[in-house]
Amino acid sequence: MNEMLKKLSEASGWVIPEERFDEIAALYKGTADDTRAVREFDVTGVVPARVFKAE
Amino acid sequence: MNDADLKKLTLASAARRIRRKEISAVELTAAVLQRIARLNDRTRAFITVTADRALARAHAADRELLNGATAGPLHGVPLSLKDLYDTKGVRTTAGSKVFADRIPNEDGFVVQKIQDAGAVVPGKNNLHEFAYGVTTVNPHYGTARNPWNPDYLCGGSSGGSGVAVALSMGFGSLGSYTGGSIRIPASLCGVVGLKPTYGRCSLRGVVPLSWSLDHPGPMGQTVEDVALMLGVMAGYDAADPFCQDKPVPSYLDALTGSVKGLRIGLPRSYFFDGLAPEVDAALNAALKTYERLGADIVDIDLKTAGLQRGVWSQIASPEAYAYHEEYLSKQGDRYGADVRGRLEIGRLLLSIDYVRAQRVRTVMKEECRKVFESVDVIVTPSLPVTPPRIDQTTVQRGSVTEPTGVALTRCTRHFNVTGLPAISLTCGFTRDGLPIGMQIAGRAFDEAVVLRAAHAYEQDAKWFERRPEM
Repeated sequence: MNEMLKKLSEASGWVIPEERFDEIAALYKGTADDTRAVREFDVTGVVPARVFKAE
Repeated sequence: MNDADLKKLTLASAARRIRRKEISAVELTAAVLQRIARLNDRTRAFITVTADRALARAHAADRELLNGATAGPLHGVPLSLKDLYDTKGVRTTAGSKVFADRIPNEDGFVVQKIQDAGAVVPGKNNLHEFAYGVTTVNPHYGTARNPWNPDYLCGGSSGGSGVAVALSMGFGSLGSYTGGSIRIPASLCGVVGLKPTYGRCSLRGVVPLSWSLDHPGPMGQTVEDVALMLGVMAGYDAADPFCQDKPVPSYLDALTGSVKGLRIGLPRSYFFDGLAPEVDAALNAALKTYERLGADIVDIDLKTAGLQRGVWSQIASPEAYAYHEEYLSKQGDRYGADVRGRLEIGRLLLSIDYVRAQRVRTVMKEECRKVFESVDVIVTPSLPVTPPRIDQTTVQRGSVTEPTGVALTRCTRHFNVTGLPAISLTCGFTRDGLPIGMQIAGRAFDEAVVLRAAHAYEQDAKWFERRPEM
């Protein structure tokens, strides 16, 4: 996870400061855990709510 | 006017008494400003108090009435603003040191509307920094305190608004939602908070957190108060690309007191999982009240409810980062640690995850649309837990220990993701005297039915008559 985060960080153009790496890694892991079910959800044929309207 | 008299007034009753010239706007505003002066150090409900401007506006309001002007619906009534609503000539900090000296050149659209309706603004309320959190533990402007017990959270991000309304430091407040930022403090502070449909009110002149999830909304002591405020706030703004041109009905006319035949959907799975016993008991008692009043309770299933947290994160994080990118690069060390970290994560998420979240959002919206073919409103707890203490970083929800913020947003975010109107109002108190909230959600642009359902319960249960001692 940490290696992947370093690569992501480099690719995004933001190098995570060494002293904040653990903090950002913990937050990233939390987000990844939260979003796992979304990644696994079948959205075949569904269009995104790009310009969102409530009806 | 003394404290006891002030605390008996709601926004609607204050407006009526001003129109009848039974009290003056100056008298009311002075009493509110005295309360703010006395309580704000203890509660941190306000970041900026605009006493001179408010008194000048109140004097003008009284003069206008004496000269026979037609009073607007909020004429002369003190009403505060979460400090992310732009106010011309008055700093708008968004609860951050980054915006400590930011003074807008014009009022936000809904700010202009409430002032046109006659409201007097005594000040700007504290909030979780940039609205990105639900505690209003603000490292720059102080921690806003629960009005019922200062050791407990008042919620957020519109925490100062909830405290101000509960303690009559103004008769209402404009808050805003992205993931529950009005319903959470409304529940914890024992007041009423309404999230209108996405697109019902203009976002122009509101510091954004996440464009496609942000909603402006009213907070008040009663359902009538928020109905009155929504009637003023709602309406089309051609300059806001997210605002929709829909007819605005009379929300006050919707408050009939009757729920006979109203179909209430109850999504027992997910929303009722692991409820604190006192929350469970209060909700069950409220449902019995609805049955006694003639409503039909129907079990429903929102299968996608468990996806709300992930969908919300994948949309809010990159949208929030996009707004803050430049500020973070130049002034990152001026952000509070919690908000800075949350924002920076938005830079690391993949674009495909954002699109996937928007696709799941479509599924969630469609599921709700189908459910609302068979029910008129959905009722859930506002929060699954009783109010947490300020120093509590985790809470117990049934057998699960989870971060406080996760528990507090569990029931509210679904209706931000789907954009549907939802209200929180008090449905009981814990043994320790802390409020418990009930959430009622409705169809898109059908705030009137949500308000009708909330009002009928409120007028029967009368929890709003219980006020904090402070």
